[in-house]
Amino acid sequence: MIKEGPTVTESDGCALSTQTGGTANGGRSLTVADPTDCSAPKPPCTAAFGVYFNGKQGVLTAGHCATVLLGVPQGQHFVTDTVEGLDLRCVNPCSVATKGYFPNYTSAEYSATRSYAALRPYYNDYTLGWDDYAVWRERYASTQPSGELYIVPGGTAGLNGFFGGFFHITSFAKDSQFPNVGTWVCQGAGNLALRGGLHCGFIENNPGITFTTTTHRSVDIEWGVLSKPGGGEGSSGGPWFYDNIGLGIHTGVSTGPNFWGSFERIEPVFIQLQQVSSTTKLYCMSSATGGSTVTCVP
Amino acid sequence: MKPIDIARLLLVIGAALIVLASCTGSSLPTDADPQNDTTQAVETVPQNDTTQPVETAPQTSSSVPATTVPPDEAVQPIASVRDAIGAPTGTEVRLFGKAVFTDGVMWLCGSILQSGIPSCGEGIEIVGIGVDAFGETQTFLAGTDIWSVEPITVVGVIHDGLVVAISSQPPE
Repeated sequence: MIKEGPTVTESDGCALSTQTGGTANGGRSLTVADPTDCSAPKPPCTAAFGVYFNGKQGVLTAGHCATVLLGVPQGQHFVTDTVEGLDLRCVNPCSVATKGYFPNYTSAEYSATRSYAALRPYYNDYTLGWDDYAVWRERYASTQPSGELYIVPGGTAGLNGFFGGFFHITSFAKDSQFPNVGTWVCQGAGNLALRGGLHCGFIENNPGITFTTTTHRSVDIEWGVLSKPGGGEGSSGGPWFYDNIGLGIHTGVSTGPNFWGSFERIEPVFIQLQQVSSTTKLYCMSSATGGSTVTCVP
Repeated sequence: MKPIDIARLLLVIGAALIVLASCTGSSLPTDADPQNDTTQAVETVPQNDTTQPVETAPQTSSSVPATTVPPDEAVQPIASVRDAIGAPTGTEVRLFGKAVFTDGVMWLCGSILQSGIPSCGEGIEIVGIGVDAFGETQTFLAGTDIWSVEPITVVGVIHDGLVVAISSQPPE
């Protein structure tokens, strides 16, 4: 059951976006404006995959991102009218020298172009060590669904030579078909993340040593040598995938010697969302080289 | 930044010293002054040496000889933050992870959520060390969140769900 949560409006300090249209790609940075400086984004997260939920299109991301970005209490299912864009881009020289969480931007100003879909946090399922996912849905019906991931150039390891641009997800992994330990999988981190781009590694533990719950079972990744230590801050909520198959939603890292990354597996998330809204769908592409957007189930 | 709750700290430290005394069989350190700055790392409290055989307490009945526990059967300190959470008072721990000082509380994190500002996914509260134990630090939220850049090692004892630090090692 969806419970009404905090509603954030313009009175909180920043004008809400009026941007219509745009595409809800996975892989893009996801944020809201900082009330203390409306021209700047709050510390970001990353969108995972396009989703259709409760009659609206949007994206999946990590549940704790709503807590970090909006102060929503852990585990609270909520509806809010906060509206912001995906993929706030630097235009002109951009910088956040005074906002230490984006060290890869070092001069000038941010400008939030909101070139992509205006989304609002809508459904959140997150408690510490528990399910960690959320749906951000479109504000405007003009938002386009997407089965694509936009992976910014960067990162340290490619997948089949892929180093940036649109990546086409053509299916999602069922738990029964889940890749084995040793499979090479990849994480996409948005352009506002500490280390945006593609980061890959081997599945080391299944189930993982962190975030093991009754309904969700994370998987640990030992980063590939070139990818260590993954996307870093701002990569939460981003996509994990291998070949053209979506796997899960990035949650965080364990802080042991290897700094394993972990993600929420997509099928349990999908099943739980369907229990809230039976028409829930995930978006993917009809072919690995592109083609039309279709709906998928794990 | 919220001030440290000194009364709470003193209570925990006092209880921890009692626990330590019972664990080590020694009297309280003579320099254990509760007025000391407990945010400083304590480095000289002896630790169990599990590489040596552990002898049990002398038996009162001559029919039951004293036994020696081989090193590999000795109880090892808990090494996982996840396992340390909820462990009973008196449990020894040797934990490794990034530490954060936030809202006046020190945490050791077993996992970190990677939103723009990092936060503990699974963490356990620590008393007895200060940010000087962190080595290199990174600051977020206008200085209210101070993180260790690299994981640190904390040796201590569980007391009422907290880790009372006996010693700590900064990143090498």
